[in-house]
Amino acid sequence: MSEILEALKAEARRRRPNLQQDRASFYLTGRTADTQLADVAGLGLRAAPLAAYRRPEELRHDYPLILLADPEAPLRPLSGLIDDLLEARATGEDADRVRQLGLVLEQHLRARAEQQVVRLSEAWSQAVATMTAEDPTCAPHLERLTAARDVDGELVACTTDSARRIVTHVWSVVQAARVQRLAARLERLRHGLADILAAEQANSAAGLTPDRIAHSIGPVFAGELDVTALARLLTDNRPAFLLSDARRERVRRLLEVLESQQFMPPAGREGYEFVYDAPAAAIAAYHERFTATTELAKALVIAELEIDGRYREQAHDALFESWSVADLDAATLEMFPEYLVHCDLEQLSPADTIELLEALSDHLPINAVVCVNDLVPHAMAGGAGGLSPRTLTGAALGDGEAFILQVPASALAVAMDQLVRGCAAPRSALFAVYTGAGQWVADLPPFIAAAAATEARVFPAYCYDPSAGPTWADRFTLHVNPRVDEDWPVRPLRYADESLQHREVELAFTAADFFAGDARFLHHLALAGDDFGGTVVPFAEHLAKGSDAWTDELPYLLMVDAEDGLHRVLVDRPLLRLVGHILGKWRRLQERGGIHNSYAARELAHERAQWEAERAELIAAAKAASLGLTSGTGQAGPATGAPAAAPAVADLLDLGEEEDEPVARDPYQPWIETARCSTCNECTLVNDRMFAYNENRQAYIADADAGTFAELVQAAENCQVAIIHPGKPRNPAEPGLEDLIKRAEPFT
Amino acid sequence: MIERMANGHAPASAAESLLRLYDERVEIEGFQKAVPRWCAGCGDNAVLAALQRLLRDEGLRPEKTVFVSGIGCSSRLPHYMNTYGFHGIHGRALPVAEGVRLARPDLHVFVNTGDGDCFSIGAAHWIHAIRYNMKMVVMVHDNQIYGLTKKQASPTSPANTVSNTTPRGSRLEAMNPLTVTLGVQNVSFVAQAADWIPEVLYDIVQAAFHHDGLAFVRIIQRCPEWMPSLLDPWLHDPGRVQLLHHENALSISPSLKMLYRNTLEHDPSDIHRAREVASSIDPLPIGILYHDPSVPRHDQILRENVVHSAESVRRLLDAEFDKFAVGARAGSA
Ligand SMILES: Cc1ncc(C[n+]2csc(CCOP(=O)(O)OP(=O)(O)O)c2C)c(N)n1
Ligand code: SF4
Ligand code: SF4
Ligand SMILES: [Mg+2]
Repeated sequence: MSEILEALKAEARRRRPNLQQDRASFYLTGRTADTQLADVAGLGLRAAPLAAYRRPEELRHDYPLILLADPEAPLRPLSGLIDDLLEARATGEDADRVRQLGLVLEQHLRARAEQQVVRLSEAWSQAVATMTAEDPTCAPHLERLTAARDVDGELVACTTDSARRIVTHVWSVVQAARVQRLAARLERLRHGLADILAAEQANSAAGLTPDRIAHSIGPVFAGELDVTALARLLTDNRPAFLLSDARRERVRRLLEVLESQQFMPPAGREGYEFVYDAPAAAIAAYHERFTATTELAKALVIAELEIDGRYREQAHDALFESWSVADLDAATLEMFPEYLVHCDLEQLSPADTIELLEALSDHLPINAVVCVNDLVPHAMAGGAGGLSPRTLTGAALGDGEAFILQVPASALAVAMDQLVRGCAAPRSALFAVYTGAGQWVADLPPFIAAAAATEARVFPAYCYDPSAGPTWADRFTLHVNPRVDEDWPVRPLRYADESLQHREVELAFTAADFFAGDARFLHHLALAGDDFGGTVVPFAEHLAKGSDAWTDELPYLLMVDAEDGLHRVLVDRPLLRLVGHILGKWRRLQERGGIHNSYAARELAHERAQWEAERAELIAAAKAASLGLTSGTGQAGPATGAPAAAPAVADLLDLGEEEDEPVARDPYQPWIETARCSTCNECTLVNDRMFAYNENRQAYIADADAGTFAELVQAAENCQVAIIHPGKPRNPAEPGLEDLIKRAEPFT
Repeated sequence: MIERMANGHAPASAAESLLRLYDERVEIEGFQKAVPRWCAGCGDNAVLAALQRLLRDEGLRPEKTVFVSGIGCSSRLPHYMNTYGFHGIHGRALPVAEGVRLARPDLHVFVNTGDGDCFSIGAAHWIHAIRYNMKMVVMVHDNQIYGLTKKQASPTSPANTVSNTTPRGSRLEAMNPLTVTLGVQNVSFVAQAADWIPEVLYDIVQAAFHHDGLAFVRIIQRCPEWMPSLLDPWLHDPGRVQLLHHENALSISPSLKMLYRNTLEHDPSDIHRAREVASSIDPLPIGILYHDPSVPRHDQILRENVVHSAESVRRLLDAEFDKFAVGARAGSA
């Protein structure tokens, strides 16, 4: 530290000897009584970086969201839609006007959505009506945007209730697509099974009565045919198509199962409920329906076999007798509807939590949306103990079986793909969403509060997807968090000082900044007074030195009051400790996400040391060589010369399969290059006992003695690809041998 | 053995594997029907044998497989296959096959057609079928002549072919159906095989079968009856045949390599190079010329979201019948 600074600090201490003592006392005891320090109560403070978000209605952000019916993209931010419309339509001479009007329209829509949930099309026409009433000239420009808008759905603003609504919507849309597949399959199978019974009926004597034949021909031609004779002809001369009793019974039973099931009942019939408020109810429903699930899933598989005519009683009867759900293929089970549980974390009892965790671990088809409404630890809030979000998601993450998405309500649109993946995944999923609720001193909209919780690492966003691959690196991602590789996100803060001069500082947004806005933390804060000569330091800086380190530089936060006046606010030790705790958890999460991974760092250090040692050895060897020393092995060869013996070419060349061994052939025996035979029938037509086809329909000599040498030669000559080799005559008495031997020569 | 192309088939689930255990395996005899009436030595026999082997090896069921053809010697193939078959009308094999594909997406569709059937009278259907890219294997038995009608020049007959319609020799150079096919929008699989190299013929039809779209295979086929010496130069001198290989296509077995020493590494994803290779007649390229599995299939696009339920079929039929209904008009007595 420079001497001047040291002198300044000493002077400050001399002038106000007891202010720093007061601060230290507050830091240790959390009391401001009998000190020069002032309470922060009544000032309506919020963390300085949040000053810019005082009027959220003027901000452009992801909310309101439009809820769409598209299972791949069920959410769309209004601002994204407006941007796309402006990009497409704000062109030509009035581009600027269209752009400006589009942004005003967006503000109107946002304001309407804040008041109530409303359909986009409805809010849109109201907003356009209001705008054109104020200024009729904007009508044609707005009309262009209206004509280009091709989506519609509910507009949902960010309130503390909207997280549940949004996740439930995404789940419903994905579920509808899943159920649609099941419905289509059921319909197809019902149709196919009914066809089997109908075919038997149509071909039976009962189905071939003159009346029925006349009916099927229709009134126009029925008179021209003798339907009685036709009925007799058909019943007498056609082989009867009759199902075995067992098969008929089986098909009937399958139809019964498909028609009476309640997973996807035919139109007009009541089916099962799949959405629940409590985990226990959903889990109980799943277990109650277990037998029905097995029965239907089995029926689907058997029905496919029946329709394909692949059902073999001898084998399949016994096989299906012993089948359970565990034997069914994943594709069939994936078609079944899943269960949705939505609840507030604060309402979960310990028993609920354990049951839910077990269901997640056991891969039950349950998706749980758990809304988190309070992030203040119970000890700090002065309440009785209860479940913290970390307990639930942490335990599920440790177990590693279920899909987990933890995300603040503000980032639901950003995390849409993960949300869809979680809902579509054939296993259990847990969605923990922080709604932005809290006891904020200054009015903090849920969108801002939710985003701030994630920025401050109090509610880090992450996704764990067990289907993404076998390793943590494949499955776990933290990337929705800002500045994911830092302790805290650091951003510039611009303000004007007492002499109205522009100033800028780099400010970390910490968990203390987040909690400092909550009424339950007011007694952990005090105004630091206006003399700072080096005795207070920004919070993050203090924490970096170790949260318990006692130094004479005490931690402060920058906060703004209702009039945007900037204050330095002291923080006491319990809050500092809490934040230290949160930072520790964040760092462990970072490690899981592959950031600052301690194993990797250790491995790297080890590799580096090894590399450096090898390098040092090489340098030493090179130096020794340049001094004319030999290596001492006694084998030092010439500097240039024959390279070391290369491995045998055969060792390097992996031909991938066995080389065909050249076969030593008996020149007297006839043979065929069977692999090259083009199945042309020439040889088999000459003599099909001598020449025959193997299992691939390619010719070989089946019996050389089954014919004459003349036939062998003729086949060789006829063979289109010249692959028959006649060998030598086997019967010296065969006539015309001399000529035949000459003709056989080209084929030896 | 030439290895099959990597195909993206997902491994079967345990349950599916168990079910397959009980499926009846159909041996090659199970796919044979009637005695082929092709001339002895005809190359069509080799195609038939390769296909029967394929059906057996892929475990296809006769009732889930259909062979569609037009008219010609080659088009008689469905008669000799113990599966569903449709011996159609001259030049119209492809539209029939497209109809089958759309109405029965559960069937494996194969088309056997001749050079006259496909490139002459059926040329328009050929071009559009390539563009539609519906999943099927199309094999053109190209003997460079009309065989069934006893020797008339076809579009692929070489110049100076003496035939019943060209008694003084044909005047035009032969058309190259490979480069034409490779010029059509949406082409996704093109290969050339020769009936007298059965190993490669088998591997090509197998790769074609696994292709997710229309696989076009031109098979150079010998017609010993009417063009007895046409292909002799290539038959007698294996050096004039050029075998194509690539890690993303076929590989050549060591024993084949000993006979066919003229080989070329050709990447089937490169369409420009494919056109270049395809334009060679001598040496004759044999192998997979082009393969792009990402081309969209018209049969899938058309069937998207179509559920064929009893209800929807009834609705469609009713709508059709309503067109013929004579309804009482309002106000008429
Ligand atoms: C509409 C029509 N026109 C002409 C014919 C006569 N015809 C029968 S087969 C054939 C040519 C067949 O040649 P190709 O397709 O090459 O078959 P190949 O016999 O050579 O295998 C012709 C012109 C016919 N059957 N129908
Ligand atoms: S004549 Fe030759 S190609 Fe024809 S079947 Fe016999 S061996 Fe095979
Ligand atoms: S005429 Fe030619 S193509 Fe037809 S069967 Fe005979 S050899 Fe084969
Ligand atoms: Mg022909």
